[in-house]
Amino acid sequence: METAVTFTNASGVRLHGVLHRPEVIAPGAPGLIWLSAGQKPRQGAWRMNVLLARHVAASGVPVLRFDFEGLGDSEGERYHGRPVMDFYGLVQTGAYRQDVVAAASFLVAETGPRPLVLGGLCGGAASALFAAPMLGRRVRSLALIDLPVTVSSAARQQFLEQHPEALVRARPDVADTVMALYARKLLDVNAWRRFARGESNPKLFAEALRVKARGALNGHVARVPAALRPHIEALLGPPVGDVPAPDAPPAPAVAARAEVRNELLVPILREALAAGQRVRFLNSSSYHPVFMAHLGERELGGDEAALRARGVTLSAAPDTNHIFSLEHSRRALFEAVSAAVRDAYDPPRSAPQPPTRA
Amino acid sequence: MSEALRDGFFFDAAGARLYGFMHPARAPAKPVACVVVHPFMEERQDAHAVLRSLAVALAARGHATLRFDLYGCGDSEGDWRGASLARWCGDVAAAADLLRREAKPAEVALVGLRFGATIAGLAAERAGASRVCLAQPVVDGAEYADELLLAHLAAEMVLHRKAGTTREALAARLAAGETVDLFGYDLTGALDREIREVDLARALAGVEVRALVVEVARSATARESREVKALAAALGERATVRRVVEPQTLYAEGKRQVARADELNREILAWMET
Repeated sequence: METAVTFTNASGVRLHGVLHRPEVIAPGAPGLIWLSAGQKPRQGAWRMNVLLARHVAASGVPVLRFDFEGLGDSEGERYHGRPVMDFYGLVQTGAYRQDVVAAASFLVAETGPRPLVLGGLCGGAASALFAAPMLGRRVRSLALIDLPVTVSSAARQQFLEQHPEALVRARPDVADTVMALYARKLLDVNAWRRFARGESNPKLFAEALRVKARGALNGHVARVPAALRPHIEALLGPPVGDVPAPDAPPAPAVAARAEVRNELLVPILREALAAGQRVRFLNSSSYHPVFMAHLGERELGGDEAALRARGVTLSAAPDTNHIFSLEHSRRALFEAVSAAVRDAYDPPRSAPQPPTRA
Repeated sequence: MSEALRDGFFFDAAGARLYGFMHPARAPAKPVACVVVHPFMEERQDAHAVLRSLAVALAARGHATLRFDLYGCGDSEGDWRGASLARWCGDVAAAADLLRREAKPAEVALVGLRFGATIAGLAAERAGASRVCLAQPVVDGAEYADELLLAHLAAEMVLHRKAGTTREALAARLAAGETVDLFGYDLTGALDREIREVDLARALAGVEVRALVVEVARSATARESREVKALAAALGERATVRRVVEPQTLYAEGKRQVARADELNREILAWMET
């Protein structure tokens, strides 16, 4: 049974949402709080949040979805007129964690004491992770889908619009896209006309080409005699990855980087794990390289068994976009969240086993 | 108005539970109450705050206002496989009936944005609405259906760096009665055909309803909408046509956070007083 609900956050602002209350709550079942991404209302892209909540509630688990302050049906206009990228930056650094804490109290008050699962996609994942330490042992597990590992800002966005080659340098996957676009332009008469008028941006194409070449040759440079390596490096140009653009404006300093790593994530993640919370990361294939570059390789190294011993599961869904809208990626997302819910059962539940032959 | 129908609630419409959100009049009640009809797919997501702010503003002026989610959309039951234009028009009529029972207004107005405006226009007669406000309406259904397919292909391009299919191929599959997964929404061949057959100007030609048609432009110098012009011509003297400039897009993610559309709200509030 779905019920429209209202509760207040720490500032006294009324937040609206929907509580999915199963007719019979499964014994030992946790409660799931599924959080909205970025500036989106609680239904999510392609109603993902609605369908996911119905899927989880059908297994006897209560689920709460709600709108953060100033979004969806909830009250407040605190962020009206702000640049969206700055708003994202706030969400990525935990601006809504107090709303999550209020939601946790509400869910427990409505459905009785039970372990909690926090989860969300993108900004929803950030809100979940930042609220988790505040709720301590009340949270048993986290389902973090495409957790943002960098911090957005309008100043940096503006810089990147003026210097798209900086983004290509920082994100080799963007270089692939640029190359693909230029390949299509070879057959486009209007593109040739723009080229003839000098309206194309050859710097962008040249940088994409260089990034691709550098990626292809990187493994071979180590085999070149040491004396020659500096010359090869000079030919290949600046390294690829999160690097400051050389021609960036001096201030604000943060704008000078194509992407800025969210340095708050590592201590928060460690705090969550220290509180015994299990963390399931699921990334879309399109986002996984960025995640690994900024958080995965630094903090989540080691093999699967070592990660599991720390209470972490990390996986990537193949051929998947950031909003998981394709059918196979929807299934992967639903399964990851269901697994996080199973992690939080009291006592813990194992995954459903396929029937075995007698 | 019953206490249970303040804020969010669910109500029944043709066997399905639809999500509604009531904004009771917060000033001496005016004779016209409003039902707001949302746009579709991701436009619904991005326009949510704008429509909520409009409902709050209408209620503050004394117009009881009901926002709700159509069948298979938002928090309501169902999915697109079971949806049809007739079903959605019936939902609007059910919402209007609910508002009549609860707020007891002399008249009901339907207010819609984008394809929500189209549904509002198509449902006006069945819902017994005396007026409709059509903000940036979709007038030509075939053009809109093609836009949906192109948006889907653009999203595929971003992921796979190639679309893998073409608009023509998708249209052919729909025409053959197949269901196409459009960015997470199951668009059936039957629904696609219904959308393509929509000609809002023709549909409203014989309907006795007063209309406000609002064109939402991003700048004062933006070209006049051909669709809005055609609709205004079809409605003749029944229509008031306005053009508002909202620098931020109201139904797609823009560069600034948009919680309200001041110009749009002003025009609609003024027209409600006429």
